[in-house]
Amino acid sequence: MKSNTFDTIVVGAGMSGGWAAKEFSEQGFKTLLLERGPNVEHLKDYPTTNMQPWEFKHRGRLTSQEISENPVASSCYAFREDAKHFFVKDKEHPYGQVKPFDWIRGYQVGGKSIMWARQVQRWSPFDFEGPKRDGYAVDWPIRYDDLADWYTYVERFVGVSGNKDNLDTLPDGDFLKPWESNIVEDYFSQQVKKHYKDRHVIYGRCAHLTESKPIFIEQGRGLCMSRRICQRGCPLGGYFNANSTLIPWALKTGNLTLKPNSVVHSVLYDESQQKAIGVRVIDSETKTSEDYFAKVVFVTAATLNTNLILLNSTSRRFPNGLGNDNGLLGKYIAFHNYRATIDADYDGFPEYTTEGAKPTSHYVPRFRNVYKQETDFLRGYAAGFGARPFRETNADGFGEQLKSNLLQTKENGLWKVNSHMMGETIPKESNQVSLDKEKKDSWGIPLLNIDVDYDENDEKMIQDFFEQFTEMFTKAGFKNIKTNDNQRRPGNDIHEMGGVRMGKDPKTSLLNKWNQLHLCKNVFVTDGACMTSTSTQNPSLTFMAISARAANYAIDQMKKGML
Amino acid sequence: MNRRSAIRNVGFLSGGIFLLPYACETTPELIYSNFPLIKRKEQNVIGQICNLILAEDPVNFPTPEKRVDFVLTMINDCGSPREISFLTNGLNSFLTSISPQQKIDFSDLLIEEQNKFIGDQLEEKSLISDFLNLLKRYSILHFKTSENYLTQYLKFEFMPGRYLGRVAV
Repeated sequence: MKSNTFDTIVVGAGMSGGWAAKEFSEQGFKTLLLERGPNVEHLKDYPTTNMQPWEFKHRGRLTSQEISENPVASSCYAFREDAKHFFVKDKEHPYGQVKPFDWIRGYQVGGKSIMWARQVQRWSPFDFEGPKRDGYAVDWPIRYDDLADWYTYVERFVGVSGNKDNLDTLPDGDFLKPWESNIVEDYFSQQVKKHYKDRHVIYGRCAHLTESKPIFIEQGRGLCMSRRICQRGCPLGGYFNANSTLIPWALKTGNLTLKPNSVVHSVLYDESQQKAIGVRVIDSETKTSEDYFAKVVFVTAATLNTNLILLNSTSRRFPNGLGNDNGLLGKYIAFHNYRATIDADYDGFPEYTTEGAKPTSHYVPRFRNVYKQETDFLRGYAAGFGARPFRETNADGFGEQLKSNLLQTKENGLWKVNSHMMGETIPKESNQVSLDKEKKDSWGIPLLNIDVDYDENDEKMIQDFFEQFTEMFTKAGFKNIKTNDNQRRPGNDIHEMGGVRMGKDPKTSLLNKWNQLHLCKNVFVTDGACMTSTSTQNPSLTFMAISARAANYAIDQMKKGML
Repeated sequence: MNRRSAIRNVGFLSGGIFLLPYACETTPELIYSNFPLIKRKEQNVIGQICNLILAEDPVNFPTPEKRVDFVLTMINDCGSPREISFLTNGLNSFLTSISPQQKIDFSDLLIEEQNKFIGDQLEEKSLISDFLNLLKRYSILHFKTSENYLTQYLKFEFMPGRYLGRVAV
C-alpha cells in the first residue's frame, strides 16, 4: 500500500500532464505520472529521426493496407511512413462514431506533443470574454490577465520563436528571434495592411529554439536546424515536446515516478472523506488492476480520454461520473473548423527565391466580430498563410528526353500561395461524448461514443473565409485563386476541447477557476477538456499555461494543508 | 544476332563473370502478394521497360534498391486496386501485342524497336498505355527520390539550419 502512495498523481504524460508533473516534482512533491502507452525516451526512441527520404521503403507513403485498416489515423497529415508508430491504430483502440469524428491519438509518454504542429499563439482578452459577450456556452471564470504571467512562464521554458506584433487580438509573449520571412509573405502582409486597417499577416509563433539560453542548455536542448521532420522526434530537442523537456526535467528531481503502460480505469472517490483518494490502473500488458493513492489527482489524459475517465469514475455519490451532478460531463465538446483552404499563384518577384527551410508559416489573427458582432455568424477564424517559390518539373517524354526534362528544375518565377482557415466552433450541449453501455475495450473499460458535428454557424464561417480571402488575395494581385472545402470530419483538426468545462457556477460547469472539480476539489482537469470555448488559436500553449497555473495553485493549497 | 542475344553470348564466353541485370537468375525470386502470377520473367520485362522509360543511373543517381524492385514494391504495397489492375492487365496486353503471330518477345526486339514501341504506346489510350504510364510514374518517383536528385536538383538539405527569404535567382 505504501509504495502505491504519492503526494500527487498525474494521469497522462503529454504536454498538460508533463507540466503538472514538472511543477509538482520540482517543488518536492512525490508524483506519480501515469501513461497508458509505452515509454518514449528522448533520443533513444525516435527510430526514424535520422533517416533520409530515400531510405524509406515507400518514400514516406503509407501502404494501401495501412490506409484501409486506419481510416481515422491515416486521415491525419502526419500519419505517414516516418511517424506512423506514434499514432494510435484504429483497430487497437476502437470508439463509437455516432456521427463521423476523427479521433487522432498518440498513446505514449509524450503523447501528441511528439507529433504536434508546434504553433503557439496566446489567447487574447477577446477570447476569454467571448462566451459572455456573445451569449453562448458559459462565461469563463478566468480572463487573459489571470493567465498572462503563466503564458510567459511556459514560453520561457518551452522556447517560442516569434515577433512582437503589438496586436490586441494576439498578445505578444516572451519570444526568441523569428526566422526570416520570405519576400511574398512580406508583400502580402504589406498589401493587407494597406487595404484593411484591422487585418494583419504576421509570423506564426512556434515552439522552436532559435536562440540558445541557459535554461535550454540545462534542458539539454540545442537549436532547431529546421529539418521540418519534427513528427519523428528531434534528436536536437530543437522543438518542444514533453519527452525532451518536461519529463526529463521532472525525473531529474528524484520526485517523479513515471509509469508507462498504465491505463487509468477511474478516479477513486471516498464518500467518508468526500474526496478522491487515488486512481485505479490497469496494466496495459498484463491487464491486472492496481490502485494508487494520492492527496491530489490531475486528470490530463487528453480531452476525450479525460472525459472518459471521469464518466467511468462512478460511485454511490456520483453515479453518473465524478463531479457530474449537473449532467453536463461530456457535453459542450467543441473543436476547430479546418475545412476551408484557398490556393493561388503569384507572378511577382520572379527574380527571388528562398534558401533553406523554416518550421513555421505566417498567421492571420482573427479579424471577424472582434470588437462587435458584424456578421451573421458568431465568432470568427484565424488563418495560416504560406508562400513558396514554385519549382516545376517537366515529366514529358521517356528515355533520355524524360531524364533531361527532369533535370531542368529551376524555379519558373511563379510563387504558390495558400491559406487555411482555423475556425472557432460554438460549444453546444448536443456535441457530446458518452460511455457505451455494452461495448468495452481490451482493458474492460467502456468504449467512448462521440456525437459531434458541424452546424450552420460553421458553414457560414467557411463561406465568409472564402469571400474574405478571395478578396484579400485579389487585392494582392494573386491569380488562379481556388477555394476548397476539404470536407474534413470534426476531430481532424486534433483540437477537440471541452466536456469538463470551467465556469463560475457548479450548476452549469464542472470546474472552477483553478480547474478543480466543483464537487471534488482535489481532482483537477487542465487539458483540453477544461476549455469553456475554443477561440481560434492553436490551444496547446493555453493548455500548458492553465496546467502550470493550476498545479501551482494545488501546491500552494497542499502546503497550507487545504488539499 | 540481336542485341540481347549478343550480350548473353558475351556473358557465356566470359565464363559467367558478368552479373547481367535482368538476365542472371542467381537471386531468389520475389513474389508480390497482390500479383503473384508476375514471376521473374515478367518482372524482368517490367524492369527492362522501366529502364527504357527512365534508365537507372547507379553512378550519378544511386538508389538503395533496383528500379524494378522499387516500382513493383510500390505498386504492390501502396498501389490502388486500379493501379494493380493496370499492371496485371496492361502487362498481359503488352506481352501479347508485340507480335503475336511471330511469337517474338519484347526482349528480342532491337533497342530502337523497343523504344519506338514504348513511345507509340505511351501516347495511346489503351490498357498498355495505362500500364506504361504506371511504370513511368513510379520510375520517376524512384529517380526523384534518389539522394543525388534531391540534394543536387531539388536542393534538399537534411539540416538546413537557416532560412533565407529573399535570395536572387
